[in-house]
Amino acid sequence: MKKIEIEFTINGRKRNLSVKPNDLLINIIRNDLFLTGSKYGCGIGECGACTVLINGEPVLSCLTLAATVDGKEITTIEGLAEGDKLHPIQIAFLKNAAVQCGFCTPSMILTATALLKENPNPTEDEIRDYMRGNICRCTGYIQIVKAIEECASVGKTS
Amino acid sequence: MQLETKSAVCVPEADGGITVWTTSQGIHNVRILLGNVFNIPLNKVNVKRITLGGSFGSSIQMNSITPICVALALKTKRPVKLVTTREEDIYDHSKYPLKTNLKIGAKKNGTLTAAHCQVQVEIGGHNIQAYPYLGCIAGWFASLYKYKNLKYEGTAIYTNKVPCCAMQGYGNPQINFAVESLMDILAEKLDMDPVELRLKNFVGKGDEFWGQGPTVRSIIRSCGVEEMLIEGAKLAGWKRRIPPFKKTGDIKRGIGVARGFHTSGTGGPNPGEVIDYSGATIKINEDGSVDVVTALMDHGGGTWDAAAKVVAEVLKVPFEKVGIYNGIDTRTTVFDVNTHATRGIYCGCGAIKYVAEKVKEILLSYTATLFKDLPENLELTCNKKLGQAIIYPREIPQNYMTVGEIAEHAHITSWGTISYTATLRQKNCPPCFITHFVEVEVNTKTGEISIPRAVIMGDSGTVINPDLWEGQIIGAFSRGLGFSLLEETKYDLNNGKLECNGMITDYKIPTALDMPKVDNIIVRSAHTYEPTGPFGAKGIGEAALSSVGSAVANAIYNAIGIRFYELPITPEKVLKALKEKSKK
Amino acid sequence: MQTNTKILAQEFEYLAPKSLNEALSLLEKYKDKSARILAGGTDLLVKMKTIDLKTDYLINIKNIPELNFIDTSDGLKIGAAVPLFHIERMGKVKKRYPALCEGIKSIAAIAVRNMGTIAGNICNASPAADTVPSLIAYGAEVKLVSKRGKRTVLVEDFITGVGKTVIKADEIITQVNIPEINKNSGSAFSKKSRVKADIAKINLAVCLEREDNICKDCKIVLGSVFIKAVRAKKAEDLLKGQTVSTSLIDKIAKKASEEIKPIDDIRSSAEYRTDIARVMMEDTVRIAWGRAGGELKK
Repeated sequence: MKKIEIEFTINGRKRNLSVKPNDLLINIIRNDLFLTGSKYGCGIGECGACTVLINGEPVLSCLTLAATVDGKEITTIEGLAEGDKLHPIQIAFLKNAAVQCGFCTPSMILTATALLKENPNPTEDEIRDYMRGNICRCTGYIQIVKAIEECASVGKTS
Repeated sequence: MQLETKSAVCVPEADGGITVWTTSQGIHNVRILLGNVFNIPLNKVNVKRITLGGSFGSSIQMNSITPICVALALKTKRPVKLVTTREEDIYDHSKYPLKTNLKIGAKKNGTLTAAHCQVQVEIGGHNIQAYPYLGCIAGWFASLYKYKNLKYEGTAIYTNKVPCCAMQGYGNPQINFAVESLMDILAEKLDMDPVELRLKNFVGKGDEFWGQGPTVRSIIRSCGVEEMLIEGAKLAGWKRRIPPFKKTGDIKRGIGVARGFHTSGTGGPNPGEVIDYSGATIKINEDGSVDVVTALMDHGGGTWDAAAKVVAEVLKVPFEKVGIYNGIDTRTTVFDVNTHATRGIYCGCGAIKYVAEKVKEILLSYTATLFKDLPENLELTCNKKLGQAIIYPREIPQNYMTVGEIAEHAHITSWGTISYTATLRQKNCPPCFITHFVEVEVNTKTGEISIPRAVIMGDSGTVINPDLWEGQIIGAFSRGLGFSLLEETKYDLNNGKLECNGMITDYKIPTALDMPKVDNIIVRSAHTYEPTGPFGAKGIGEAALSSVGSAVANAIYNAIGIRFYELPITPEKVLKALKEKSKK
Repeated sequence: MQTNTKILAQEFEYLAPKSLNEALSLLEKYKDKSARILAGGTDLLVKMKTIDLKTDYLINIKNIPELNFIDTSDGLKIGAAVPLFHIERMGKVKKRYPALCEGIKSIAAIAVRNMGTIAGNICNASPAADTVPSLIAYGAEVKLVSKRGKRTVLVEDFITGVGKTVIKADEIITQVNIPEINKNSGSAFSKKSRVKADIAKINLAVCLEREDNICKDCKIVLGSVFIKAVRAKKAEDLLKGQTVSTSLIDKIAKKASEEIKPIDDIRSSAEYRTDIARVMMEDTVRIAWGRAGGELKK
């Protein structure tokens, strides 16, 4: 297989990588870039745990070839806070006990930031529908929805 | 199904030992087994504690990936990492499917007289939990109501299917479904309010209670069942419910009640029944902050937070000054059995409180020498302004020393570190209770079921982490909805393959859209205090799951007058049943 | 267990043409090899992971400008590389082609709709595809282009079976064309699934044209009840040219549920699908009629 040279920005940093055609973005992010916030949950696009933002939009990194991110901007959970300053959504999640085991949390938060950018004042039903592809086994979603609602009502977007 | 699949990393050490990082609910069990399997003395086997992405009982036992990883590492003399795929995980473990035949007798006034329970459970391949499981089911069954006479028969059957494991409740939700359904059937036969029937017969304060099995018996010392049934009924609008035959329209609403409990751990009056103990080393650092070194595991439900709060409360140290999260392995900690059986708070934090109190004794004893006084004359309290614990002779508060200064003094004079190491076995496993009032909406044209509202009452004694306590109850509610409406492990009976092929495309679990709205899920705590628990606390985890499915099934009956004796209750089953009913 | 969903084990060559011409040349060059088009990858990569779908060459078309457009000037023309979500959020599409919008909205999850494309949904040719019933109901076509030339095929004729289409090895769908919709038209889509983010147990699209209180023309399409989406032609015939009333809707709903022959599978049963088709038909035709500005008599 011929390797592909890609150049992309991840969490504000420019990176150059040489990837195999069949390298998946989730594995590049975790194993090559040591950003382990994005998770492998199912590998087939059903659980949402691998969600990252590409050019601001949520995508599933387990179904994205690394080669296709050439020229794109990627945001993982590690890129959300500014130094020690947490993103408002991260603060809302902590405040509302929306984190239990934490495995789904990076994908929930990233998806929520995209939601609030697209729709700064979503109704509860809109929030639940937007988040329907992100599975959580621990929290039962209520506190996650509360956290997102809190962010929306205070007018805090990304 | 838990969201993180199982992994293991093993580094072979130069002295022939191993260091292992692995998905586990209890690192010491893993260590002992690995030492056994590979014939390595335990002082050379170190298992590191890491966080895990949900477990619910699936990592109580050492996961099969772990010894395989160790074997590879020892053979190759190189570090090895193994991560299971989702499909391997789905094939690795599943929940115990239980078939129950249940008979309950009662007098006309609703007093229960007898019960006969026969269960059959299919345990899959190479399972080790069969006997304890059957024993536990007997316990879950017997401790719900006062049957006066009871007979229990349990059979576990090995089959060539996915091995079952202790998914939250360890049989409790399954047997609860049978008992709580039958209680409703009985209530109808007696023309009695289902809540009244339960109030009349529940096993409660002062009653004998079987812990995880018939040989582990104790007396219940704290019980909020009555409060939960009465208050819950009020909040749920129970009195407004209408019998199914009076319901009209295509969309029928119903309300159902069910109650459950779980043991807070597996402790019992006699040692040796079950291994159940935890411990910690707690030390006061040279600046007055505190290290809590414990192998106790937190699945995300707040066990570590609770432990830190307990230590902070005992030593009067600000919560932020208690360190508990990092740097834990089997080498640096005393034995901890596991975080399972809802034992994290009652047993785990119970042990930690015990150790903290010993540290307090030593602290006061040493400080007394500094004050040239007696320990009993000293007051230990938290000074918020200084952000430190302080000690002073009672009646002379101005003569205080901060715990930081005391620890520094002990350090500078080479007195030593103020610390204590011990384990504790709880001699009890007090039940934590739950009551679910669930409203369902059944679309009689499509068979679809939605859950518009739920009132959930919990009894955990003193609630140490209120928001995470509520989170666990709500999370368990979502898992219960999954089990009662969606999830099924289907096999191709010709070749034993899973119909879903290990892909969760066809193993659906609830999403954000399947829960009631935020304002329509109401969680309240009973007002109880468990005298044998740390600051009066009990557990909640598995209790929260136990009666969800039962309440949903009872609510469906109230909505459409059809009782389902099998879970999950899918739209296909509902529509079919409605068709058959209308034919009659 | 053969699969490993954590990685993509297959080895292949990755190509990222920058123009349609370049893509067509590649397709021609590799037409006898297993060359596949990569758009969103949400179906393709899953198949490559789970059933080892043989792929020697993967041609990424997402960056081709000629395939990235939405033209609402005459009907609706959607380039093959346009993510589903971009179509979903367009107010114009929602207003004029609500059945398409509803179909797209019902797909999986937001991330999948950010990646997936309408052309991909069609080419994957799952009987449960959620854009297909609406596209057929609107009389949509796909434009197929190769070095040899171009052709258009009705979506209804394009899909021939489970995962099977009439596309040739050197062809690519460049766009999906949906005809202009009459202002007295109404359309609606509905779907039943286990959870909302799920493959359909059954889905249904209705598009009808109203003249006063008569249904002048209609298309009723059901998915997930056959090897591909099917028109309920007998039901359509009962509706065409008739005064729409509640009793007529009941009649055609019954007809449609009799026409279809669904199967039992892991998601649902034949019996359920048949029963539910009738209920869905009643509701969906009613909504489409309402959107066409029609009133309902008994």
